[in-house]
Amino acid sequence: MKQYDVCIIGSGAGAAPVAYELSRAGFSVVVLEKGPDLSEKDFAKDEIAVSRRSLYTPSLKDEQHVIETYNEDGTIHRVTGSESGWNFWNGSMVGGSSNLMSGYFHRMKPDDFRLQTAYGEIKGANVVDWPISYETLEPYYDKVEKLVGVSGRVVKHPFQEKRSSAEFPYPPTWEQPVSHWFDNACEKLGFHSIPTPRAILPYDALGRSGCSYSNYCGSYGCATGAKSHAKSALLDKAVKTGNCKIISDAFVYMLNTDTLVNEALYYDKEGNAHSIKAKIFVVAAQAIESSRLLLNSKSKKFPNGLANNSGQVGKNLIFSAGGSGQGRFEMKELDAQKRSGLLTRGAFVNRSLQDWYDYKADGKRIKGGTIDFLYEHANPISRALRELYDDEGNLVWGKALQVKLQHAFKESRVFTFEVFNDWLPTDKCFVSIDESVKDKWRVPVGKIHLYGHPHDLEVGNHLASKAEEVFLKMGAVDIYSNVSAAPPPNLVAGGCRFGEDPKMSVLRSDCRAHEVKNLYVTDASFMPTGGSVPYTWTIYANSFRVADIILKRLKENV
Amino acid sequence: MLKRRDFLVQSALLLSLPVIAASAKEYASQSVKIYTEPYQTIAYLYSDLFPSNPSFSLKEINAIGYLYGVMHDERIDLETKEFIINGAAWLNEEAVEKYKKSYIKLLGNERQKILKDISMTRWGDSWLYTMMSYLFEAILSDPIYGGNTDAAGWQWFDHEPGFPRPDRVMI
Repeated sequence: MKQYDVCIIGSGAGAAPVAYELSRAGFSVVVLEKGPDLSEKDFAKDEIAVSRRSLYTPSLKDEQHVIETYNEDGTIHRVTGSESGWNFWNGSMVGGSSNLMSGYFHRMKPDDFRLQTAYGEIKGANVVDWPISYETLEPYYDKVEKLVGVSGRVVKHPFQEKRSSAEFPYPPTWEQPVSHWFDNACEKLGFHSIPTPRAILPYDALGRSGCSYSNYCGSYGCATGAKSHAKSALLDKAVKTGNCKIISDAFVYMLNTDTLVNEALYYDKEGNAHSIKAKIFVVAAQAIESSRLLLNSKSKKFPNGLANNSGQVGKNLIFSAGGSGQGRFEMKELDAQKRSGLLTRGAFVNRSLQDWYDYKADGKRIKGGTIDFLYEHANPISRALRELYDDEGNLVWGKALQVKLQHAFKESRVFTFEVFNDWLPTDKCFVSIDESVKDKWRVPVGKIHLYGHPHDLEVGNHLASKAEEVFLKMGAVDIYSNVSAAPPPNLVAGGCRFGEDPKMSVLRSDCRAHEVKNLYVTDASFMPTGGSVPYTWTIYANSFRVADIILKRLKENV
Repeated sequence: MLKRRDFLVQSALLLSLPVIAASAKEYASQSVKIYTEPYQTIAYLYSDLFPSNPSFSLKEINAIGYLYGVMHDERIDLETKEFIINGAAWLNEEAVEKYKKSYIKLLGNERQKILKDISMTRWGDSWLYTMMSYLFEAILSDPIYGGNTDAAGWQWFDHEPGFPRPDRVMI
């Protein structure tokens, strides 16, 4: 049987940089992806298939999670995904969930790498410093900008992190007229409007087509390749080297180990079992599933799961805390020019605020976060359903509903925001295995223990109130926000923390398992804290960093 | 009554539904027998929930044919399909209890009263939301699914679709 140099489990943002760098350096790479291999022609803007029937995620009857939450009295409430409809899957396909991202790309700030030192302990939270600094990761953030493709415009603001390149390699994508109203409102309020960096190419570059401004971006696959997802940006190029093989519809259920990992066992679409041998194994199946794979990979040396003699695998699961909000612009309140601007479709809002990435409350320094601004998603069925209830919470139908719908679709436009702040890691939020529930391959499913620290809500509400101030200044009406402890399934990290102490972390600072010399984890699992930005840029950057480490090791044959 | 209905919602295999995969080429039916249940009752319900307007009627948009597709869609769970059927039966129970006639034989204002009454109940609110969800799908989905005939729904909403549009039923 062929032995590859590297076997990668998963094909998203944590996997693709390793495949790209090693295959280009002449090493043999195999990528095992659970989902299908879709191409740009498969990515139609079809709300029924994509949003209403969840085409890109598994059926919860076939694959699910068990979810446990904590009642107020401390008892545990347990549901299965299939009973509750609670879906923690993201993009199950080659390229992973990066295919479906909106591509709001922010770097973490230097203090995100030293959260404990900068802000101190928070009771009930396992806040720690990272074992690497911003300065270590900065060259890789820069590399992602150039190689994967990030567009934007650098502006001065209080929390602008240091950059090795003065400007982004690509200018911003086409922007909405409302972006300038936003800028004006922020200026009057003394806030610093930031053009949101986007993982989207504004024009043809890097062997890919530029954005077609289809008006359907987040949650949808990109039909042009402009979105900087793992497949178009890296994997397609890795395959072209002739050194990288991608096996799709391959569900890895076990990593076999003696002193080292020696094979990955997977099932194909028909349920047939296969084995892949390699010198080095890289797990990047997205945080929950990466922990599940390690926990299910028990052996004599690792009776509690692979690399888990410390008991740390699955621990300190985090999401992105925060929430969202909206305001409505009424056409009748605007002049003809502004009305016309409001009807512009396809262009992006591309605006963020980070003025409160760090703020003071009651004399104490608080870690805040990021607010991204955008228009309501174009999906018409979802938009229509949001009009079904009146202000008192009663269902509306008939002529009254039609009047409401006409107002929503023709006489107004909804502007929205999303808040990103730290989901503090705690002992109560983690992944384990539920032996009583199995997936379609008869493999025990992951059990997600969910808990949001109360501090997260305080910060989220503070940020949301600032976003509402901007909406008010812009003249929006019906302004409200919703900050909750509900976890966004697409913004998940942790479970295999990196750190210097083998008793308190799963991975070393180079993302190699403390206990297994040929096992690396390169998705967001490594993150001990999440920063207050979406994770994808950091996942890409760290994966490039680890790729360099593996490359050096393979070259030196150690 | 609510308890009984909650039980019925959860009760599996109350009604046996044919499990037939939606055709790869066709989702909605173009020839659903509208006089059969639950379609007969739901056709009246739909016209009450979303009355015809100068741009299109629900008949033209093939809302009932689309619902037939929903009832045969493998990605929609059996419980939801049963709920759709049971809800139509319960709607008729309410009509008979209040007016001694089935829903479709009531006057318009009587049907509105029944809808108002059930919307105040847990099952009724949930069922009407479910029915509206699939009605909006019929009106606003890509015409390739067999509803939204000639994109009349999109036109009424001034909605422009994203591109590329699907060239086949993808589910």
